Amino acid sequence: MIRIENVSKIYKVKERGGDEGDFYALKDVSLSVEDGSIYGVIGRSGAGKSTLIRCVNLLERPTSGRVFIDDTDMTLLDGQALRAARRKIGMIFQSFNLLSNRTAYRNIAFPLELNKRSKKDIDARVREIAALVGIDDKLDHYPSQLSGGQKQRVGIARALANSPDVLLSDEATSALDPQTTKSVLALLRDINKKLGLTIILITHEMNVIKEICDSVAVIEAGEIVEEGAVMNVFTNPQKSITKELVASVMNTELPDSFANLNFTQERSSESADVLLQLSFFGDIAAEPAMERLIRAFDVSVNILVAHIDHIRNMPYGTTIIQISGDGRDEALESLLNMRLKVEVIGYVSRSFRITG
Amino acid sequence: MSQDLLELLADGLLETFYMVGASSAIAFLIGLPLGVILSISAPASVLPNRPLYGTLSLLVNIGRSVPFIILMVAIIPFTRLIVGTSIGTNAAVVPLAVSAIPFVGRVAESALREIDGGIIEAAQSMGATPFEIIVKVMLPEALPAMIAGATLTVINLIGYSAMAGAIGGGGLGDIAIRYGYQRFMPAIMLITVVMLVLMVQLFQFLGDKWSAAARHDRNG
Repeated sequence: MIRIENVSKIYKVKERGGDEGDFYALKDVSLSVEDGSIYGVIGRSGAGKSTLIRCVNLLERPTSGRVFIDDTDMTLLDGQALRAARRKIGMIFQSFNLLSNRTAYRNIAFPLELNKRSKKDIDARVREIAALVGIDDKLDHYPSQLSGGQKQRVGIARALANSPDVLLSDEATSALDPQTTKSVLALLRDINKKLGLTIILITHEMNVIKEICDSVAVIEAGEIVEEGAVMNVFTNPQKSITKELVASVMNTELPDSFANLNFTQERSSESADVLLQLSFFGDIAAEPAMERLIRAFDVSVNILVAHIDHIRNMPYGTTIIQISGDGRDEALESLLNMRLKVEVIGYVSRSFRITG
Repeated sequence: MSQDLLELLADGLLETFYMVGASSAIAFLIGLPLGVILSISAPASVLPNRPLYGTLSLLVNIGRSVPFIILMVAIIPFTRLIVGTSIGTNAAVVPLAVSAIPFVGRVAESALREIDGGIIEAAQSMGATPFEIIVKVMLPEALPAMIAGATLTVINLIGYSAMAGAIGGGGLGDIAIRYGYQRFMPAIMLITVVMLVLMVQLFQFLGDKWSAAARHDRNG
């Protein structure tokens, strides 16, 4: 369990006129990360996520607040004790930060050398971990001879060499193309499962959160503005920045053809059609529900939008339907009793037809 | 060419090698640690220390701004203290080394400064001590630039060693002045100059080869 408690990081900045001012890179940030989970922190550049992840292994020392890894308060550690604690926390970076004058093998061996392991131990461990991340055929290559994805695999192997409990990922896929990003994320999820490793990652790409994270925190101007299980945050975002981020990967926005419609929140007339957004998870599908509606009630159902997304491999479908006919109130009632998330978007007059 | 002349040139060559070799060795021995201290004590480096950095930096700047010919004369008392005399090859080594130390310090500092800060941060995240960061990360990463800087230092010293002839330091420069200039023997002047040029070419060639062999941060 990792707990960040009321952490603030204040930088002194020179303001115009020569006065010293305070800049809050982090403002009273608290969060906790369950053992074995993947926790994502997302925010725009300059939001403070980079400072936050560096506060976990004390590369940045918080101005106030505490950082607990299990029961150790990292902020109390110094010198040798801090270095020992850091050896149990692996870290990977956007720009890989491999030693250019060492081969992949000797890069992976580096943290083991620092840990004063014997040559024989180091050799066995390097080969074992290289096989795990799929880089065992490139061990004699220098970083300049490797592709971005291969470099990050070496970075991951290096971070895992000392069998850490925690892996910190600082925008680890941001310098990689989409295909390579996917394979590196799959690797991270794989080692999370295989080794029971807790992963804290920061990113500005919502895709990364969607693909592998269990929990997510949204950070803006140094503050956590929203936090929770990925499923909840994605399906029910609260803050506008979160909605924006979710919309960037989920297509939950209404299509443009809806934009200039004046459907109303209040029912304008008795005969108005109702527009519903249905959301469903996992193996529950929307189609049988609609079939049942049409059979059981005196309604017609028009599907306007339908698509399926995946959050951590779990199907998440969104359907927007238009229900017309005399039985629509009863139909709505019955839908609300099903295991679907139903949201009334509004009402439109019967003459409305979708175009375009 | 007479036997005497050949011997003269051979001696001159050996003396030049001796002066450059001895002063380079001393300059690297003191200049490298100086460069390391400069680079790690610089603001925002591994062990920032503003007063130390400021003082050393000032000393280095002073050392580098004094022209060699003046330095050579100015430190004669110091030279006498160290080697017991102010004339001869050994006496020339002292000002050569003194002039090269701040140069090596700056060359080493700038080579170390070029290292990507992310690499040092990565080493810190792995629990490396400042000493391990210097020895296992900074120096190896800076090695190609260090070799290039060392080549530059040696070539500078070859040039300066020719001036050391002015205090009877011996070497090819001394021969060029005494025979070529003072005894009007332009052939000797030419031969010594050609030998110096060849020497510089050779060191540059070897330095470039060595630096390239140590460099792994780019393809090819």
